[in-house]
Amino acid sequence: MPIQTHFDKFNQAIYLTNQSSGYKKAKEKDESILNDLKQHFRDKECPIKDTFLQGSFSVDTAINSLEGDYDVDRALVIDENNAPTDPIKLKEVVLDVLKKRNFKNPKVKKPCVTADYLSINLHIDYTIYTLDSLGNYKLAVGKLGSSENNKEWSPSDPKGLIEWINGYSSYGSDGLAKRKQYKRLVRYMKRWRDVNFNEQSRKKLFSIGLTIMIKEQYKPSAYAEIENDLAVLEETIRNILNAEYIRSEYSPDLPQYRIYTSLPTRPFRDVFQHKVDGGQSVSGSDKNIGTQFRNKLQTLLSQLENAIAETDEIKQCEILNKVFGDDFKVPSSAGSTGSGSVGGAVAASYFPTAGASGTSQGA
Amino acid sequence: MLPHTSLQLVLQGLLKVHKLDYSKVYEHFLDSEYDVEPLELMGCDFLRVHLQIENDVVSLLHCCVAEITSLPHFYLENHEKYGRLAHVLPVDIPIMSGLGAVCVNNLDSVSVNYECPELAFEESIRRHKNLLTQLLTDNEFNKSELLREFSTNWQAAWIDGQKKQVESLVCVSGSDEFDILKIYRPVSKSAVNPLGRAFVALPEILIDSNVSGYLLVQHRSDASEAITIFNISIHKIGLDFPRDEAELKIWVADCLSIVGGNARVGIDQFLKTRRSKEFWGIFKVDTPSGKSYFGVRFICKSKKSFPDTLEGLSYWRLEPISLNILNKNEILPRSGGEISLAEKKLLLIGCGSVGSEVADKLGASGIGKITISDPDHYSSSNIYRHLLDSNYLFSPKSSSVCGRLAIKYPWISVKPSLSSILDLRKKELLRGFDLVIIAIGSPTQERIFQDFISKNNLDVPVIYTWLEGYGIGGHAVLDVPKSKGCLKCAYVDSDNGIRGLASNLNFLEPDQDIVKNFAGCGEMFIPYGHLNSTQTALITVDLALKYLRGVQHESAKVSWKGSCDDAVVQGLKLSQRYKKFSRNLEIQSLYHPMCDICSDNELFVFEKRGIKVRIPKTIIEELNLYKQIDVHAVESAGLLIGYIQGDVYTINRITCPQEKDTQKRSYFKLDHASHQKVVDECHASSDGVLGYIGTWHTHPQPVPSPSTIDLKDWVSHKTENCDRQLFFLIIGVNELKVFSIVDGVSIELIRVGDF
Repeated sequence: MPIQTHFDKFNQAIYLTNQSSGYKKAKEKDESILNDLKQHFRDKECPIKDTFLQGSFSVDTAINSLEGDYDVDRALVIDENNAPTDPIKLKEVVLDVLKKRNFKNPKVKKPCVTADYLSINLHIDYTIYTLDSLGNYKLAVGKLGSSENNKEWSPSDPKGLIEWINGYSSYGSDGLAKRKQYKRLVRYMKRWRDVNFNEQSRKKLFSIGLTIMIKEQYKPSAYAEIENDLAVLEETIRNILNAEYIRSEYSPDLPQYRIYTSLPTRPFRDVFQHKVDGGQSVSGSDKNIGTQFRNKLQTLLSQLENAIAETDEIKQCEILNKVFGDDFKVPSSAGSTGSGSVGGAVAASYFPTAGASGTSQGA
Repeated sequence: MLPHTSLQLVLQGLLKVHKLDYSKVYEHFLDSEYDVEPLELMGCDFLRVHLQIENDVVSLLHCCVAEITSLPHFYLENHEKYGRLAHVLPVDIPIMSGLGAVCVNNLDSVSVNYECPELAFEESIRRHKNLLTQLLTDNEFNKSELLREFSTNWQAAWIDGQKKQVESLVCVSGSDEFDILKIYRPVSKSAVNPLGRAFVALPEILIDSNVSGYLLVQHRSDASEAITIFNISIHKIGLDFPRDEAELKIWVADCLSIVGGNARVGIDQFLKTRRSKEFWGIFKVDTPSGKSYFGVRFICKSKKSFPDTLEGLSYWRLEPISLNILNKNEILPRSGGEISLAEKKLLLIGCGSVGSEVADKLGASGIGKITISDPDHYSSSNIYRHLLDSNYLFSPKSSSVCGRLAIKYPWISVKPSLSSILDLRKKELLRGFDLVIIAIGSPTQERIFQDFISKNNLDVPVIYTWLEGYGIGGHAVLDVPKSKGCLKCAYVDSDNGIRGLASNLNFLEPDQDIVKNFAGCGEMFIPYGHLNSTQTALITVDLALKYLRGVQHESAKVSWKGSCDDAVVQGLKLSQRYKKFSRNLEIQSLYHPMCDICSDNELFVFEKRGIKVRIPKTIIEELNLYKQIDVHAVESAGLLIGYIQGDVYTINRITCPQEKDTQKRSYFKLDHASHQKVVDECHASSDGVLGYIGTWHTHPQPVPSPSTIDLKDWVSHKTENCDRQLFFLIIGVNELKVFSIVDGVSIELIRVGDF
């Protein structure tokens, strides 16, 4: 069985959409809170004129988390003409709605309002944008009690980011298939992160950062046939390491590193920003996560090289299983795919195997 | 991308909360050739597909649904980018602008796998890709499809865009290039029946026809004074269908500018010389799928002659007309009728539960002219098994059923009569019909009627139909004069060859207490339900249509066999035919070998030791054709089929050499299966009277004598059929000899005389 088949199965195993059964409760909460929010925004004469998902669900790169927790990243869009000058006013509306529900400590952060549900592992982020007649978005930035200097409607391009991630025009022929491969790589790397970093570090290695790096460093040949995911992942990791994302910082002892990755669209800020004394955010991640990331990425690269060099299918899968965790299945013998799917093959399905068929029936 | 507007509630109202599990669908497409992703827009769930078509990427959007009830539906995003595409209709809702609904021939007859929605999606996406690839890469195909869908596109582009009510017109279109029509006002604008609320128009020559009755013209007032209406053929139209009145004027002016021939003459001579405040134009357009129509109403404040240029049109207001065209050649086949039957003339005698259904089905078949004769009135005892409704209670059945047909089938011509079957024994009258159908349930009168036809040598085919009580079955008999088989064949008693008084087709034995006496002599009835009479009508009409189409030439019979449960509960005896019958709904030969009228009268009799066989002269003549007179002529052989009556055997027919037989100068190998098939057919159609009674073969000798192979062969045949006497014919060059086997030894039968 070619290695791609094992990657495909891995991809299936970690794939998550907002239609997945595990996500159902999250989706219900999301819809119900959204209805509440709409009502409250209307009462403030500032109706929500559009809403869309941000984050991994908006670009179909979401994966099942290891702990079974779920994210909702939702943008709320209001008309610029209805927007209060103080963006915090609307963030307070969101905060009030969330407070009345079963959330533990909802709070207003600089770019969003965030909360964790008590009864289910649901993490929610709401961002508020204004939209002008030319289609420009501005993000509500600021916290409760921020000074006038620290709160604003800040030009932003959330849809542009989604379009940038979804873009395929630079891929040459078979752009759609290459984009599919790119999204697989993103899912693999997110799972790699979840398996290889502890909970604290994992939260700092933002998915959007990985997504942007991979997008920039995934460089398929324009006309050659698409290579398998293993080879392409190895090449992409190598590219990432060779690019300028991870930069060393002076240190008297061991070298320390920070990760730098800029948003490709407005406001073009660094996604890994860390805080300095005085509460200001500056570009680059903190040194701990940067150093960890560099080390583990190098390990990953050598593991992928080993996997590529390995000719035995089972051993190959064993290496990848260590890299990606148990959702990357190791077959019990070459040709079969492990005990899981043997049962699946035995269970007969009596459903029709075609999608539709023209008939001569009428009445 | 969808436009962002605050009308999202409108969109949400359009979408049901979906319960279908789309996660399986998305998982399915992870490894597929298609690019399928979930998408949330305006808080609603969509499924989006990107398709690579040539060098372009096309996006399709599917609104998530609660369940799969047909092939999943998709919208084409940014459809305007691709120009006007056939099978893609712009969505007429502001919030969904930019989306075009794609139609991939999703008929009800497409059986969709709702149990595996992912497969249904895959199939739908494949169909969308194929269709869009064709439309986007083959401009000629797109154009021709646009034209094929002319009416739909016209409707979508223009009529649907109209905010106000458009006038509705039902129009019978003529076949001419140009015609001025008669137009009639609605019966009433508040009529219950939409036909009554519409204007109707038809060519002058049809004003007194049946179709004008169908259109209720007698209840309408003539509008020709105020409105000039014309019907015009145009052979070429622009495909950029107009979307507003200004575009419509340009488009119509373009259409009219290229009109030539008789249509041009019509415009110049009839329209331009007439001054009117209103012109209604019915435009007939040639499309790849036949004719299409569109209607335009031209309105002006003052009387003017017809405007056929853009300049002229500037004084006029143009409105679309909602058109319904009744065109015989289009409607009949499309709605299930047959044009070829439109000129057929039928006489239906008897219009009870079977007859009325026969009449209705004949009408539905497209039969053009039906005379219905029945002296009876529609009474309450028939309510649950008759076509008619309460409007006709106590009225003559014939005129009532005629009335029903006339308002149901636009082009039918019906004529009622109160004559009984016996009054209809009129030679000239009967000669005027292509077929007579008798559904009176009276064996006596049916046979009397048949005698009349037969005695007068009338070349009038007749179908006799009847049912039996208790749901046991029903029968139809087609008697085609001069063909083998007649009504009397259906009355021959197979035991003795004598004509019985009850039909040998019946499934219940005669002379039983079948009729229920409800309230004395006048109120007797045979118990049966509407399904029984309808089923009987169906086999009757099927037989009639096959005859009229020329598929069935010979006299024939057909029966439907129902359950015997109710009859058995009543203690009724079933006939042998019922027990054996297995040829439900099959059309079989009517001919009965023992029928004195249809059988050969010239018979040669051969006899020896009390064994007697009769051979019709026609069969001897047929056998003589196979004589090996020529020195190269090959051997022929076949089976003898006949029946026994008392102790006399009669050969009724032979099987001739079949394609799969092997024939040489003095060798013949018979393909058993193909000969047996003929025997089985005869056995079935004669209800077991006819069977295998021997073989025949030729010898090149002048006076034939059986070879040892023959003898061995005969003995073995006889052993296999010990229940009957078998006969073996050898046809020599000069003589025919008849043999039989008795006690394992062959005997030759001698010709003793003619019958």
